[in-house]
Formats: sequence, structure tokens, C-alpha cells
Amino acid sequence: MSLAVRCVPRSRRDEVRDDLDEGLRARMDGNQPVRLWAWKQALLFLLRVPAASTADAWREARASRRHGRELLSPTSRPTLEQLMDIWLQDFRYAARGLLGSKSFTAVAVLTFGLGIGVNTAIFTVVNAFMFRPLPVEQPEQLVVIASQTELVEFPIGISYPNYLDYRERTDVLQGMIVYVPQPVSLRDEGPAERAWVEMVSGNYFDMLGVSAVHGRTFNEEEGRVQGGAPVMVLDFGYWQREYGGDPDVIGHTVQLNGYPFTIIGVAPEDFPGTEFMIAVDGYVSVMMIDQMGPDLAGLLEARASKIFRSMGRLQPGVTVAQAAASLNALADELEREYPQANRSVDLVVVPETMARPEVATASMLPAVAAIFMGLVALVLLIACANIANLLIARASTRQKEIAIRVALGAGRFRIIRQLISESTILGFLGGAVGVVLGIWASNYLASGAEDFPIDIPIRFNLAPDYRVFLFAFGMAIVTGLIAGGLPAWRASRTSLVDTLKEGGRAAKGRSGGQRLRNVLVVAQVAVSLVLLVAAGLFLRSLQNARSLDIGFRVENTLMVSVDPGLSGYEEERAQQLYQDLAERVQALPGVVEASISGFVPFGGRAVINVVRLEGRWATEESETLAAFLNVVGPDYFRTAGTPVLRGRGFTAQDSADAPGVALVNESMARTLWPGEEAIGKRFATSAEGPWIEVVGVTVDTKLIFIWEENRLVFYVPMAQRYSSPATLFVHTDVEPSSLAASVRAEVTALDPDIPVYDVNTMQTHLEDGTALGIVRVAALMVGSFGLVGLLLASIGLYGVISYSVNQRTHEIGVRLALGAASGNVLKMVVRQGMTLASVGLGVGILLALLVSRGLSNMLLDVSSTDLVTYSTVTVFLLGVALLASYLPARRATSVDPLTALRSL
Amino acid sequence: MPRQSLGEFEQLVLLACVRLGPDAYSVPIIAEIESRTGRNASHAAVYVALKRLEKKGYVSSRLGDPIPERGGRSKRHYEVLPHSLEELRAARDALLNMWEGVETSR
Repeated sequence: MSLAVRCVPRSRRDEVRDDLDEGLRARMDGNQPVRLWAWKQALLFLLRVPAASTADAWREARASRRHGRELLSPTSRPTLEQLMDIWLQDFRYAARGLLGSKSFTAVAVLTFGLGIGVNTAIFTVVNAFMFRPLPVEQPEQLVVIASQTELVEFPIGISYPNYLDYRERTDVLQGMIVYVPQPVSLRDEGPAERAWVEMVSGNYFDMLGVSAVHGRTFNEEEGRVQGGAPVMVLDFGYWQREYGGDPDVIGHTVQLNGYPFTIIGVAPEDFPGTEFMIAVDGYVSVMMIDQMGPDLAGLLEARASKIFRSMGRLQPGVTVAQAAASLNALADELEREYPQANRSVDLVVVPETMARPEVATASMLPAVAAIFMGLVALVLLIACANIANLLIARASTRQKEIAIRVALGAGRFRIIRQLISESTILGFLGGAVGVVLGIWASNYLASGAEDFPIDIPIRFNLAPDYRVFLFAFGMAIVTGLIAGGLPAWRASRTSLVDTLKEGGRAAKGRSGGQRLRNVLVVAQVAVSLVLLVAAGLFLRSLQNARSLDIGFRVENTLMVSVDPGLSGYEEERAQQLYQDLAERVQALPGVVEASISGFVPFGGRAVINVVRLEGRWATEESETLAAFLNVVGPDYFRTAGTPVLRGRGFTAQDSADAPGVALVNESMARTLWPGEEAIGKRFATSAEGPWIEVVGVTVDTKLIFIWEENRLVFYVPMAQRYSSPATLFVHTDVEPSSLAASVRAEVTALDPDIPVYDVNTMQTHLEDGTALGIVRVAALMVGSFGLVGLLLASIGLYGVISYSVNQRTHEIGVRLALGAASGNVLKMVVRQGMTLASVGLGVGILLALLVSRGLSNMLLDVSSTDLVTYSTVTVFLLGVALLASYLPARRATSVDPLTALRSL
Repeated sequence: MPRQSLGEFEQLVLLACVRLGPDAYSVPIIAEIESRTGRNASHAAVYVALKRLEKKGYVSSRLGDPIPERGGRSKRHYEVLPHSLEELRAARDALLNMWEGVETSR
């Protein structure tokens, strides 16, 4: 309410507040909805008082004008009302002026719109990642907690026993939850389908402060007793999709992996869950983990299995850094108590908004966001320069008008303000266009992300919120001021006498405007070179990424995934299914070879195993070593195109009863047995575990990121270590996607109840997936910034040259009349354009060298001073500049000397 | 006709001031309008109307004595200036003249 009262002039504020208080007290006696009344009163103040004073001011001003008095006497300071009136006048005048030159307005608004549009689009993405809070209670208190281990370079989750201890012992958190997404087979009536649920600790909804829109969330009991909570909370979207929003679904029973689960509630519509990008269909208690998947049993007791994501709610007044310090002290305590399971575990604590989509990205996110925002800001800068150019040109045709206004007593400030009003209006209109463009572009981006070819249902909510609109609004004001400021300041320096004396040909004698416009064009060319260099560097990265040796075949490979474990298959049956499937697919025409594999490179799923050696420590420093595991069928290495360098691949003889065998990749062989032959050596994956003999060495392959250093990987036969889900790799001698349907049909023929998912060629998997998708999207985005920038800059160059040709029509006419060859005139004009462009390119190259250094972290095997990129971009820009100045130059040669001279 | 005529709501506020006598201020004015006309009047509207009336010279305002309930601050009382009554009467007469002959047909 106090905000509303601020509309009232200060001298009266106290009285008004007291009056309102008194009114409020009077109402409190009655039975009326008092809060609502108070709000309404406040709102009315907010609206009516300024409106009334503006209207009064307007009326007064009109009355005083009618009396022929000066609106402002030069000695007295204008009151606020008078100022408002002047602003209104300026805006009305500017609006009339803009309406008068519609094509100018349209071009300017579109230019602003493009500039603000790309900025809004990128900001929408940045907003979704970094600013928009979770729609839960006091989201600013939430932190994500993860373990940093020595196994991998990025933070991973925490284990359930550790979670219980942290939660029990910490005094910096009000509450702590764990959650982990899990695919399940969900069956109501009709066939089973693959769905994703979030397994959550019992306090999940309570800690977040989210309550069900229908039914209830988990109670305390359901978070405590293992196996004792066969209940499920539905996601709102899933409830709408599958049950048409029927509230009677509460109490209904569905089958999850064949176990009956009762639906107890529906989560609110705006609650997206705690996974940033995964659209889960429901929530089940982590107490039901044994039922959720065959390989999950016992994970609640496994202190070493750090698979759970975790979030905590800070105690009031506790900072993130304090919480991190305190939790790490706890982690050390637990490391002392459980040295095996918690060896060198540190806890990473980051605010929830910094952990999207993963804690691993927390350190990169601000830098990446800054780079992209910086690049689009450059686009906007070019747009501003363009509009400034247009405004200067416009101002020079309006010099006479301005001079007259000055002569009638308008002050310089008034002229500047009036011209800036014009660019501000343009900024706002452009901002409106930009918001529309930006929302459209971000929707496009979101739909691209949601089509990501991976098994996980992606949800990428880029709906704009008030931050986006505020941002666009701010951009509109700032760009309006930037673009309008310089031209307005210049135009206000109009020399009264000269202008009026020279009549309509005022601009000719003065080169100031042209000089300023030249500077702007140089800046535009320079900035667009920077953008294009950035785009080029990203494209080169993509090119490099494509040609990287990733260690397996990309062409002619089809992948099909199944998860028989979710359909209730025991290991023996599943193994048989894998074998039958491989054999049947192998027999299909067009198939060279087929083999099963537990993991897909860049598939987002990986298992790390601890490896110990026979008779000695794994390395000089440590007893064990962490390595990635893949379980594969016979002939996998030939099928995937991962060459076996020495020794042999797996065969059907490496069965469950046969002695344990493994292949290791080169890096692992080199690390574990430096200078020795790995084949014949033995290692184990647990303290008790049987010894596994190395029978072959394969090439290194990329697993998680395409730019990663080679990791340590070993392979064991699927027959000796079962995995569900699994992926059938199919090597074809025809276009692989053409076999998708028939491979699918083979699975269905074996068992119609097994869902088939992720049917993809390796090519698509890499191009659109995590491997290259991100690099490709980055290159595409930066490339489009570059093109928009280039387009704007070439329009700018064209405009300047074209304008100067117009101004010089007379001069050119004289030259032609005196016998200049039209070729010479052409050369003269083109030279003018190319001089500007070359200066711009020179400045741009220097700028780009500076700017691209900031990009170097995101580049792949490309130096930020890559010669190919720089020279290609320079030549390209020169070509565009040549075209942009050739067009007006040709017009110059067609000047008719007679007409030009006569118009003197 | 006066240079600046009275709006309808301004008339209501002015009449409320007349009815309440020299101690009128916003809270009872609102109560008076609401009880007599059955119309809801917001603080903001009354505030704006009083300010305009004062500017147009229909009412004068003064700060009353500080009162303890208002934290030692005083409220602003409005008093109707004599010529306003004539304006009000003129306005009423104008309306009544216009109504003549119309009323009976209801």
C-alpha cells in the first residue's frame, strides 16, 4: 500500500496513509473481506492519482497556451506536471513524424526488432537455465548437493546411506531430499508402455513445499519402510494426457514393472519436478527401489553407489559457502567412518539455479551464457549503428525544420529530447516486434531440444516470464537511447544562421554527418566481422568434431534398444532373448552383423567400476583404479567397428560358465601395465571378485563427450555380466534407417510385450545427440547471429554509400559533364565503400583476436587465431561490401549530367 | 456558467462536505456518499476530487489538531466555501429544469 501512496505528492502522503488506515479500521469491524478492500484501494491510488494529475496538467497546459502565455518561463523550474506535458508533446510530435515516413519507420522497427529479437531469444534460454526459480516454496533456499569423487572429472550424485547420515547430522540444512529418474514399464489397461518416474525420498514434496492438487503426497511412513509404499503421485501433464484430468483416478491401481501401485495424488500443474529437462510421468517413493528395476535392488544400502541426486534447503541466514564448508566437514567424518565407500569424496554445493541441467555444468554455465549474450549484444550494436545512420540521414533532411524550431526559441536540450523521443518510440516498437520474434525463436529452439533423439523424454520449458519481458523492455529503452543519442546530439548543433541562409541544400557544405556515418559503418563492419569469426570458429569446431576418431563406425550402423528387465524378464530369459534377437537380425537381408551391447557411446548412461590387480597396486599411488565398463555380445567389436588391436574379441565360447575374460582399451592397457603386454594379465572388479583375464586390446573410444581425453574402458562378455537395458548394434550394407522397421518387427516377433525404443542410426545419434548436437546448435546459433549481423552491416554500408551518391549527384553530374568516363565514376564510388569496409575489417580483425580468446574454451582443436577462419570471413565480407557499394555506384554512373546540373 | 464546472462525482463530494459541516475529511465523506447513494467510493477517487475542488476554489482545507490515534499526526479538514453552495444550487436547478415534465412520464 505504501507504494501506492507514493503517487500522492509528498506533502500529503502522511494524511492519505492515515485516512486509509482509518478507513481500514472502520471496515475491520464489519465482516467485509478487508485485505481485498485494502488492495483495491491501493491499486486505485496507483492508477487514478497519476492519471488525474496528468490529465489536469494537460488541461492546464492547454488553458495556459490558450492564454498565449509561455509554457515555461526561462527563470522558473518546470514542475513535474509541466515536464510530463512536454514529454507527451514530444512523443506526440515524434509519433506524427514517424507516421509521416512510414518506410523509414518500418525499416527501423524491423532492424530493432531483429536485434532485440535475437537478444530476447537468447535471454529466454539463459533465463530458463539460470534465473527462473522453481515454482516451490522459497526456491532461493534450495541448493543441489553432489559428490566429487576421483572416479570422474565431474560431480556425481550421493549414496542413500550417506544421504541419511548427512540429513541426520547437518545443522545447516532445514531439509534434504534425494531423487533419481528411472524408466519403468507402466501398465493400466492395455499394453505396457515405457514411462519415466522420479524415485524420491519420502520428504520430497514436504521439503519443497509442494502439495497435491488432488489427493495427497507421500506421508512419513511411505518414506521409511522398504517395500512398504506401493503408491504413486502422478505428474499433472501425465494425468491430463492419460486420464483426461479425472479426479477419480485417486485410489486407482496401475502396474509398475508388474507390481500394483495405487495412485494417491496429482502434482500441481506448474510443478515441473526437480529434473530440469526430463519430463517425468509420476513420482514413487525411493522405498520401492527394488521394484523399479532389476539392477537397482539393494542400492539403498550401498554406501558406495552415488547415484542419487540431492537437494537441500538452507537454514535461514546460512550462505551456500557456509553450507558447503559444513557439509564437507560431514563428508570427511563419513570418509573416516567408511573409508572404503567414501574414499576422497568431497561435496559440491551449488544454488539450484546454477545446477541446471547438471551440477557438472555449474562452473561453465555463466561463462557460456555470457558469451552468447555478448554475441547477441554485438548484433544489437550493429542494429543500433544502422538506426543511428538512418536517423542521421533523416536529421540532415530535417535541418531546416530544426533550425526553425531553434529560431522560435527551442533550447538545445529540447531538440535533443525531441529527437530521442523518436528513437525511443522506434525502440519500443522494435522491442514489441523483438519480443514476438524472440519468443518464436526460443520456441523453435525448445522444440528442437524436445526432439533430441535420446531415450529420455525431454521437457524444455522456454515459456517467457516477466523477466523476459522486463529484459526486452530494458533493451528497447537502452537501444532507443543509444541509437538516438548520437544523431540527436549532432543534429542539435545545427547552426541556425548557416542552415537558414543555405536554404534546402544545407548539408552539402558540412561533412560532419557523413564522417559520423562513416565511423558507424566502420564499426558495423568490424563488429560483424567479429560475429562471423566467432561463427566460423564454431563451424570449424563442428567440422573437427565430425572428423575426430571416435573409435567406432558412424555409417551403416543402426541401434535398437530394449529393456527386458522392465518386462519382468529374469537374467536367463533375457540372455536368451539377446542371443535370439542378434541371430534373427543377423539373418535379415542387408545386415552384415549384429551384436548386443550394454551401453551406447554418448548415450548418457555409463557404469564405472573399480579395478584391482593381481599381486600389486593398480598404479604407484593407488591400490585401485576406476574404469568404465561395457558389456557386449560376441562379435561386438566387428559390428561396432571398434578394431581389436591385439588378441581376440569375444565369441560364443565366452559363456557364463567359461573363465572370466575381458578386453581393455589401449589407454587402460597403457595405464595398468606400462611397457608390458596386457594380454594374459588378470584383474578383478571387487575385493572378493573372480579374476578376469585380459584377452585382447581395443582402440580407444569416446564415451561421454566428444572432446574428452581418452578414458579407461574395459569390456566383458554380456554372457558373463548381464545388463538390461541393452542395445542391439546392427552393421548394415544398406541405408541403416531402412532396416529400422524390420529390426523392430523381429523384437515384436520374439515378444510383443517388450517395448522397443531409441531406434536410431549412429549417424543421427551423433549428429543430433549429445555428441555433436550441442556443438552443432552452438555453431548454428552463432552462425545465424553472424548472418543477421552481416545483413544489417551490409544494409548500413549500402545506405551510407547510396546516401552519399545522392548528396554528390551534383558533383558527379559535373564530372560526367566535364568528360569523366562512367567507369571512373564507378571506381570512385566503389573505392569509397571499399575504403570504409577495409578500415572496418582491419579494426574487426583486431577486435576478433581479442574477443575470440574468450571463446577458446568452447572450441575444439581450433586455435582462436585460426587463419582459415579469419581469411575466409575477411574475403567473404569484402565480397559483400563490394556488392553493397557496387549497387549505388552503378546508379551514380547513370546520373544524367543535364538533370544534375539543372537542379542546381 | 463558471469557468470550471463541477463534475458529477465532485458534486457528490462537495455535498457530502456540506452535510458534514466544517469537520469533513475523507473517511466520513466516503461513508456519507456510500450510505446515501449506495455507491462505492474509493479513497483515491475522493482524494482526487477533493484536490480538484480545492484547486478550483470550491473548498478550502486546513490541517486539524494532532490527534493521538493518528500517531500524533493531524488530518486535513475540508470546508465548503460560501459561493460553492450557489454553484451547487445552480447545478441542481439546471438538472431539475431539465427533468421538468420528464419525471411524470415514469
